[in-house]
Amino acid sequence: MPPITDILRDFYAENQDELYTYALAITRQREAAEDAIHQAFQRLLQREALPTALRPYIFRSVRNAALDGWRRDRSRTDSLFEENRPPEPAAPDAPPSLAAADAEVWLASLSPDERETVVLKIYDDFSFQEIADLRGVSLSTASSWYRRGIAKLRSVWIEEIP
Amino acid sequence: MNEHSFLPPRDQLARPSAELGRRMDRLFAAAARRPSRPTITVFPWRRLLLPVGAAAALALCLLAPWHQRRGATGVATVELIELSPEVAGTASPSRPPEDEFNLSIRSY
Repeated sequence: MPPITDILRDFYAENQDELYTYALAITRQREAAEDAIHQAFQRLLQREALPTALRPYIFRSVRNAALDGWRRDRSRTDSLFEENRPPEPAAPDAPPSLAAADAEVWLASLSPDERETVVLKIYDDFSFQEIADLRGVSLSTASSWYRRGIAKLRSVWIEEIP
Repeated sequence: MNEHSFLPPRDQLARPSAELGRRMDRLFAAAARRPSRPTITVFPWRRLLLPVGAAAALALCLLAPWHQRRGATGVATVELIELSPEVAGTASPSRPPEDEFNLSIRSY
């Protein structure tokens, strides 16, 4: 079995974008999200063993570090999206999507649980079972957070369509 | 159509900075240089609690009847009264028994 350092380095290389999106969804500050990831891996590297189910474990570690940072400073919020980046050309039959700035506003209007679950499910490809394990809640609770969040966003989107 | 296709696609998500990449590289490099910790073997006392406790309980169960038998033997310590030969034939109902009998009590 490779050393823990190698395992964690490989995991970070493969999941850095997803980890950052998740941490940013919680902290809503870019520096705090990066600090959370760094701090979480710093703690993980101190461990002598890692669990088999690595993904939810590491995301939970990042979540704990992100919540610590979030509690420290809530004076400023950053967007989950890169608002200045031009979107890649969409398929001709693709439906219109919310602009990044609008999506951030409406995502921010969700409850923290709904927002976190929507981000995990849509942008980090977590299953409901993985979300339930990560958050320590039942499958139905995780599913319910997602459904409520999506329903709220969809109602906004329908209103926004010209 | 996905139920969430109205949300911005992933290419619109913010990405971590290059500075975080450098910090993480330094973190992993430092961890790789760190000498591995000596393995400390701790005797698993806690794992012994259950078998030792079970053995103690079993021993108590086995010894308890033996204790009861020994106690019953101890109760029967006064069991033999002998008459001395010189007074055995002179007992008289008119004299108090403490003058006529020389009692000896043997204990076992």
